Amino acid sequence: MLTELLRPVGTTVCALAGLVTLAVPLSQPAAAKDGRNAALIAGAALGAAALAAASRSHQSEYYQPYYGPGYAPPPPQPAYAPPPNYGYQYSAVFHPYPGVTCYPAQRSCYKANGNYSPTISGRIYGY
Amino acid sequence: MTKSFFAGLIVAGSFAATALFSGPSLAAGSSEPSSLSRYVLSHASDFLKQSLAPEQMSSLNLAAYSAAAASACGEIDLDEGKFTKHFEKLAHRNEAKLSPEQKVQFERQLMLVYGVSIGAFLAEAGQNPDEFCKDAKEFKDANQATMLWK
Repeated sequence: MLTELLRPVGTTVCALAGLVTLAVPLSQPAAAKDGRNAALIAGAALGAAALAAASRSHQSEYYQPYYGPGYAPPPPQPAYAPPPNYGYQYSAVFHPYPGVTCYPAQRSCYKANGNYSPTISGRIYGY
Repeated sequence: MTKSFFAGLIVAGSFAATALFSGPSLAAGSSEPSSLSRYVLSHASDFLKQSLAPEQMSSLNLAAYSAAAASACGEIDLDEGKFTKHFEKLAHRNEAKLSPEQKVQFERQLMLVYGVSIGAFLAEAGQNPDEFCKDAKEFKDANQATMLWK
């Protein structure tokens, strides 16, 4: 939990550090040129790292939920087999032809006027 | 089997009569077209949804429809041999695991739903006999391999 709270703070601090590192050498006289170049490189690297860490895609790709001590993570979703009456409960009504409605739970099809259609029912459900 | 069969037919008769007299109100408040047989079959199939596979429910529908059409339409007659053999398809999906008492219970339920389904189709035939028998004739002319008529 603490890690998650500190993540944005740390990212901001890194980004600010990078900017400060970039800004400070520019305000100094040209005496320590080598040191300034090294600071520029280090600052740029820190800034790039901060930006990468702060980016949403990076965070989602590597994000792992943190569970503190005493808090067990939820169990993984079990891979349930379809229930034995799967075809009855979850099949939706459909219209194989204009005006014709088929009801998978009853294995039967009806015409637009509501009458049973043996021919289409047989065709659809293999009578 | 015979007692169960007749018990199913008796219940079917009461369902059919109920469907006939309550027909116009079935679709009240619904956008779906009114259908007596659909209404009755939708409830009847619930009795067997744990016992029969979906393909077997098709076989039961075919048996009930064929019997109803043979009864209501002059040009259609059941083929007794095919009809009897067709019922062999309607074994319980877990028949091997059933006790003798459970098998009797299932057989009764099967006959009940079969009878109710016949009643549902007969109710529809009673409402519009010309269209019902015209559709049955068209189905017969399709001459499918599973046909239970002569």
